[in-house]
Amino acid sequence: MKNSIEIEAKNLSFYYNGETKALKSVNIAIYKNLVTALIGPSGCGKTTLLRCFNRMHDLYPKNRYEGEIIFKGENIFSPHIDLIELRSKIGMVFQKPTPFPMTIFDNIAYGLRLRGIKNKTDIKDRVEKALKEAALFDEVKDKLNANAIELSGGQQQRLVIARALAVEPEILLFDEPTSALDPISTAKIEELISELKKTVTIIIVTHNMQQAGRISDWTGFMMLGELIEYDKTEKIFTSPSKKLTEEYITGRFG
Amino acid sequence: MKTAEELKKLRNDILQMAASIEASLGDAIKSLLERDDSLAEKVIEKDNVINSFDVMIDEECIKLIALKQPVASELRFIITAMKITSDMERIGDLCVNICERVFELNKEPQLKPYKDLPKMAETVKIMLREAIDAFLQKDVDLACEVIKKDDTVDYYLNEVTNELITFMIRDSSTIYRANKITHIAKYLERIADHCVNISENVIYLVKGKIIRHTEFSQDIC
Amino acid sequence: MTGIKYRKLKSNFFFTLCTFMTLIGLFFLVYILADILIHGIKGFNLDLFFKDPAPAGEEGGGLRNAFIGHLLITLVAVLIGVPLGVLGGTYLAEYGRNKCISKFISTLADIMVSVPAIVIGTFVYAIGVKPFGNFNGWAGSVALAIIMLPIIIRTTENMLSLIPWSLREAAFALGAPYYKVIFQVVYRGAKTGILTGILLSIARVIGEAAPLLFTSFNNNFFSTDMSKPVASLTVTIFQYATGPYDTWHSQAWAASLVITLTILAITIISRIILKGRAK
Repeated sequence: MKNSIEIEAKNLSFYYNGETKALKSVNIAIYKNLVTALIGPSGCGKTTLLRCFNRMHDLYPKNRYEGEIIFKGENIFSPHIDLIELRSKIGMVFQKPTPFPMTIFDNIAYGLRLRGIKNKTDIKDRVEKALKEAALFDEVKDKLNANAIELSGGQQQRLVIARALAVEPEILLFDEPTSALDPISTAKIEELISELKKTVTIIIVTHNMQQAGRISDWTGFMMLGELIEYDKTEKIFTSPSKKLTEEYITGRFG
Repeated sequence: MKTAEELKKLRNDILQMAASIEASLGDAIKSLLERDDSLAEKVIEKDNVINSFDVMIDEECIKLIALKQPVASELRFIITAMKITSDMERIGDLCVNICERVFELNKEPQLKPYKDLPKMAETVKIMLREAIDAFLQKDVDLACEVIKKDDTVDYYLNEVTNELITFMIRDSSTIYRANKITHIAKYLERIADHCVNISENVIYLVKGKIIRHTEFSQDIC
Repeated sequence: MTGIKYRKLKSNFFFTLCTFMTLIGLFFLVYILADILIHGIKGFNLDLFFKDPAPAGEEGGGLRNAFIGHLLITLVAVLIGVPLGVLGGTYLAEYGRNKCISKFISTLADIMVSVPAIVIGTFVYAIGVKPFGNFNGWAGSVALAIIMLPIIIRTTENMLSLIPWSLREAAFALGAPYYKVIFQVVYRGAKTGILTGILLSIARVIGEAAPLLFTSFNNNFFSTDMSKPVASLTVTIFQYATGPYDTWHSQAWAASLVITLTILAITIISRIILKGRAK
């Protein structure tokens, strides 16, 4: 699989509140149009790493990054980087489905309107496209003006994915997207992710190792802020190189 | 790839390997009966292909188990696939062994017109065909047919061996050739045993019961 | 007496006591409301709303000036208090989220809710009446606004805090700046709660007399000039009730009825809105 590198972290370290070192010189290259999973025990830094890619940590002023993340030839921590532009290229889906308190249509259109897109037909078309990509269109096409809160948990999560897709990102970050869902909704989302990777590069943090095995192409195993092993999923799950990886995968700890 | 698609691919790969094995067995027997060196050569070369199939299918199965957590019939299918390919690979090796004996035999004049050996070979060919079909169609009855035919093959082995022993006693110059032919008969019998293994694994696949090493279970066959 | 019988007896006794106390409380509530209703209905007529007061002692006349004046003062108070209160509550819930000073301000607001209205009236007298030399409507509105402020601030802060942080994060992840997150997402989610808070604060101040006593005072004539004394219902009730005339008394009762019904209506409406939100 000779895919090009979409985004790459180089010697990335991260400090919460300026003091607690949560990431220790992480080097990881994420490949285009593949699903990369980050696994590891609680507190290992996988979510922290994920949130570095779209600079979500910037919301809390005392946080500090060290090292670089190269995306499209530039370091995303450079001061001249437009955060809004960055976050439209790198979208995020969270653990708990978070539909905005508005209609389904307005939810999807939110990102588009944020970017100043005003043409009504344009918006309508892109909303429909996003809903189709998220495999939700058929279920909601007759009630686009209903409040998004009325959808079921699985539908809400697909809504959130559609919302992120509407602005045509290049990378989608998933932070344990199915841990709040029932098994059938989980299966639907996993199927969706496998489809989406044809157009978007995906990085997913998951507590569920089997999920990582099912849907990811590359897997990174982290522990205590370090990237212990990063390889093709098949290799990690059949013959990992590091003993720690083996112990985690076989459930000896974590 | 989705699990269902991967399983389909696996099935196709086994089909391809089975086709190769069947061809190899047919060619090996033909090379014996027609004393054809070049055909025997062809069979020996093809064994590489069969071995690489074996490795590829094994790796596919391991990957499926590690990554997709298969259960129930899917799991049984994958386990059966691994065992069947192992039996098929051994059949391939036995075909090579037959061809090696053919080379040696062809350097000497033919000992006698073959009487029981072609019938034995034909039965073994049918067993292989039916065993593979039983796997592909998940047909327990067909698998049982194969297991029954093993007795016929054992009978033929006995006949051939006994006849060759009388030859060897009567004329000691025939010992070299008779020995080789006895070996070939034994190879054929082992191929039949592998076909029986394949059939028993098919029964496991369908019924979920392991009947190996047990007496021919009345309730199944 | 066996254990269980004894416990049953205790339970029944307590239940009876609670019911009895509730009935006493309800009784007085009903008594007051009935009283206002009975006395107020007598003076209830259209003239009350459309005519200005007659000269002292004379029959007839109405309280149009007081209704209009009261409405005006309350409206201006809302225009001052609501934006300040909502924005203040927004600061506490959003930008000042983890700052120590926010906790301090919140506690201060809680305390201010219980400050006697007359104290606020005196304060505004000092800064809004004395320097200008006369009672004026603006001062009355400011006094009412000051009473409304802590209620609106606290309700807004509470309602905004109920919106989960993850919702804001989701908006940030789409690239929205903080102010847009607040206006487009957080406010939308909290709007019924904030509205309820505003309605309740209006219900609170609409019945106040003490703060208006020293600020907008009262005016027997119809006037919409906020730089001079403006008539208000509550102060009028105070004046009329303690006055010598019967017409004054009945008009005071009628005005009390109107205020009571208005407060009742506002409270019920805000309950309905809140219930609708819960769906």
